[in-house]
Amino acid sequence: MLPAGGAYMVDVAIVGAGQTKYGNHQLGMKGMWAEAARSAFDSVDKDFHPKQIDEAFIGSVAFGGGQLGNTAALLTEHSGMQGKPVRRVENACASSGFALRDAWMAIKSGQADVVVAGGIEKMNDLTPERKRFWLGVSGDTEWERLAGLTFPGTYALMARRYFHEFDSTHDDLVHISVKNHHHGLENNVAHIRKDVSFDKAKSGFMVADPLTLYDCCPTSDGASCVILAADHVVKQFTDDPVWINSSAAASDYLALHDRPSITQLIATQMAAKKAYSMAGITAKDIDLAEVHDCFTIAELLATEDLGFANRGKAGLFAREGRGRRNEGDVCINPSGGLKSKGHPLGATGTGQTVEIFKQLRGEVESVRQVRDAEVALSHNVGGSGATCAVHVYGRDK
Amino acid sequence: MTDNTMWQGYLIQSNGDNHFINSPWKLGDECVFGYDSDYTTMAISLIRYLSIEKSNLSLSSIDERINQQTIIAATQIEVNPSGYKIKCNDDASLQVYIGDEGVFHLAFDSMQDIDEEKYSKIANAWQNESNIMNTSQGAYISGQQYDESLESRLSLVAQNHQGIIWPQRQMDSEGTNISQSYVKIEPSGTVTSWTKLSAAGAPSEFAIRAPILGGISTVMVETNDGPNGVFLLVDDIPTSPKIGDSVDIVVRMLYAQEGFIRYGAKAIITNRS
Ligand SMILES: CC(C)(COP(=O)(O)OP(=O)(O)OC[C@H]1O[C@@H](n2cnc3c(N)ncnc32)[C@H](O)[C@@H]1OP(=O)(O)O)[C@@H](O)C(=O)NCCC(=O)NCCS
Repeated sequence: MLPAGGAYMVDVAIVGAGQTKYGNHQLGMKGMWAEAARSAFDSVDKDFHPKQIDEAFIGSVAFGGGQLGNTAALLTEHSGMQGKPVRRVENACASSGFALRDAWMAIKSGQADVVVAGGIEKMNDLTPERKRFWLGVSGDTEWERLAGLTFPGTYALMARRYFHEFDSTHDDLVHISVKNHHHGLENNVAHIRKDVSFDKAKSGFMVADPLTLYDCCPTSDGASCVILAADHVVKQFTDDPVWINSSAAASDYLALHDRPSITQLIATQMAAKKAYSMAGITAKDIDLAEVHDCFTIAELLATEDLGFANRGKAGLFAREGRGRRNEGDVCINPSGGLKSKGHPLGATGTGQTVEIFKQLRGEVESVRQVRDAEVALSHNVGGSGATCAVHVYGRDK
Repeated sequence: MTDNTMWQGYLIQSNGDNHFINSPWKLGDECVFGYDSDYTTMAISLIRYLSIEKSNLSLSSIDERINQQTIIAATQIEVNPSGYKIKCNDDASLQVYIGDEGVFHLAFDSMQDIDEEKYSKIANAWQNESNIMNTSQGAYISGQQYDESLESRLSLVAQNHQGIIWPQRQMDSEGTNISQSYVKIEPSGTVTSWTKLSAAGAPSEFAIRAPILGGISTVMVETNDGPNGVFLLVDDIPTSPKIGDSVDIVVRMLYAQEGFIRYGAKAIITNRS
């Protein structure tokens, strides 16, 4: 624990990170969480025991309602963390991005030295009808759901409007889909590992016009877990940490129709601005970004909202392939993103962190390695943009 | 006697203070409801039509085939003995009158043939959906939550608080409580975006009917008074929306669950047929 007086602000590092494969998982929630936790524990370079954990924050929407209450207590009981203060964090698809932020704040506050942030979702043990019930719980149910909207619908409205306001067409989204499928092809934990041609991605079946199957993330099972440590204990665990240089978050109106503009996510812009300023960098310094592409249009908007392209220019950015691995300005979604890696709602945020931890330490499959990766960003969005958490990571503090 | 006037997707005739509304759809020589219409939606439409000319309309009683809560929330009409009578006919028509019931004839020439197969599938679907056993599978709009914003949803009742606010909210961004001041926004506007959802993309409340309808369309609308909203398009006028289209906001059936029908505002495109 920190010396009293608060004269010095502790830095926070990631010392371990692991996850399950995303997709149709044979295991239930307890088994999946234990698998993710085991892989995080085992990734710590030096001795690590779950007894050393002070706190745990676990993101989950609790999709399907299987274990709505006390989820975190149940899960951690199955991963050697009995007795610890734990809780579920819920912010729709940004649940574990916020769990990560809560864990970071717990260490920053001086109240904890070793904290787990993780996430989990079990989505594919439900019938298609029940899945669609749960996919509509995070919009403004009273207004959007009654107008037939779940997230494919809300993002479709954003896409159509974007094409109307700017020089962009659906083909720009197809470029994003092709890139992310390509990035995820060799990712051993990805849900959809298919190299998809431009023509194939363009001609997927229509889910919510103009968004086709290849614009949508799949529904995935999965769990992810990262272990954070205060700077004064990091050395006990590793000589090769990844630092969290900043953590920022923001929120916005829940319903799309209450926002002044639907072609930008204000919560992303606010969180990114704070995150860059706290880390003392700009968007140009980012080598790789795990971006919340639940739908390809979400990546297009994030490209602008995070500052990689100017307003109205993300279509051009996508056409020119400027987000491609080792070819563009910045590698956007080296993991394959939600599009290819998959989107187990509550697990996605810390799943992005697992990818960044491994990328910055040079530990991913060699073909997927982003060259000279030093600074990374994760961007995790809840629903259609009502909540957003952005983190900046570095090899250096 | 006035001619058949097309109004909010229905046909209206008037003779003095007798007014008649019918569905524009026919099956053989029978007048039948469109895919998301019933006596309640037609009665609301007729009362709104009459309200253009007359204020303080009232009904003497409400036929039991009409959902009382919905018609009141959608029109704010009062019930008192001196009011209009309302009578639902055996086909998809009804009339509102003072004094004696009038005699009206369906204008078959102005009506269209409905797709028989689709019509019967949709009728079955509504029956299945309306079964009390058709319950939510998890997340849903409870009866109470549905009722709470019913007036705001059906009548577009808004708040006047440094500009018009709709849907209503509790506090503004300064933390000041917003009073329930009663303004209604005009039920028309312009399409600012749209999507058509396949059955796979729609919430499962629409799971039975979306495949029969070939998907459901939702538009984002900037109302003429300013606030934005999202609305389904009515189910029986299959026009593809475009950004910039003009729309009217009308009341139709949304879906049924736990034995009762949820009604809501839907949009009709008015600048194209
Ligand atoms: C897009 C979606 C509607 C497709 O669902 P579906 O029609 O039931 O698809 P299925 O699971 O039957 O899969 C059909 C095929 O497409 C593939 N597939 C499924 N989803 C896919 C996706 N998003 N991208 C590419 N391929 C996909 C499957 O692997 C399967 O291929 P196969 O036949 O070779 O095995 C569904 O995945 C979905 O709703 N995604 C959005 C989830 C969401 O809203 N999350 C919250 C975001 S904020």
